Amino acid sequence: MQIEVESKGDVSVVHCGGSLDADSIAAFKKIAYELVDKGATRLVVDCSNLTFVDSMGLGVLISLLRRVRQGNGDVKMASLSDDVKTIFEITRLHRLFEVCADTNTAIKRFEDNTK
Amino acid sequence: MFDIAFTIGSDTRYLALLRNMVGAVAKLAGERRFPTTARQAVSLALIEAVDNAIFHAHSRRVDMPIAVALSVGSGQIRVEVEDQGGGFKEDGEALVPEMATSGRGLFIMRQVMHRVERKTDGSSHRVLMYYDL
Repeated sequence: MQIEVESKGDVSVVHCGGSLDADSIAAFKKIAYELVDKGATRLVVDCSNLTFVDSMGLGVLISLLRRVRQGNGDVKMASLSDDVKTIFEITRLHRLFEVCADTNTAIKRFEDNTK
Repeated sequence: MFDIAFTIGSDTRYLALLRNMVGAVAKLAGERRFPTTARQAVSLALIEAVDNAIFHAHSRRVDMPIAVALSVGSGQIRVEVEDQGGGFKEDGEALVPEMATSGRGLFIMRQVMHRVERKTDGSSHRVLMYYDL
């Protein structure tokens, strides 16, 4: 899995490519948790290049959400492919995470929530 | 009819290989016998079943074998995963609470495949999953 972090103001965008599965969750968790430990409270997970998520990938996203919400922050999902969107809907996680059409929309939602 | 069967170790590094295998079989079988919707479902169900074998049945012991089989027949695709564990109680009928970080694998398998059967004899556990066309 390829992971890149981009800062857009006070929002951290985590660009994920490939598969978020049992084999890659450790790498994702390390990078994402480091962001939170450094004070990030607004995270967007950019899934535009994410082709596969299994239940363990979902679990690490929920772990991240729980951690961020402890600091009154949030994690938004952006640019889900049809396959990934289906998994979110099957497991009803589209009700837990705010799923946005793209990264810019997710960032704007954070701005809207501040107003 | 097309059958492929092999054995892997209990190592998550095989997951990408398994997804690629499903994609290759789907391409070989063609859209009529292995449609795109089936490929997505079979990939996911297979990975979930193998995840269960690695983490729950074998406690990540990489030397423990997992047998995988994929069959493409007329009107049906069958996936089998066999581990050396004793099976587990959960039936995957209900979804775990939304903030739970685990426990969704079997539920997902049941949602994306048309039928899931489990057979155990105490020393091995087989999951058979069927996708009807």
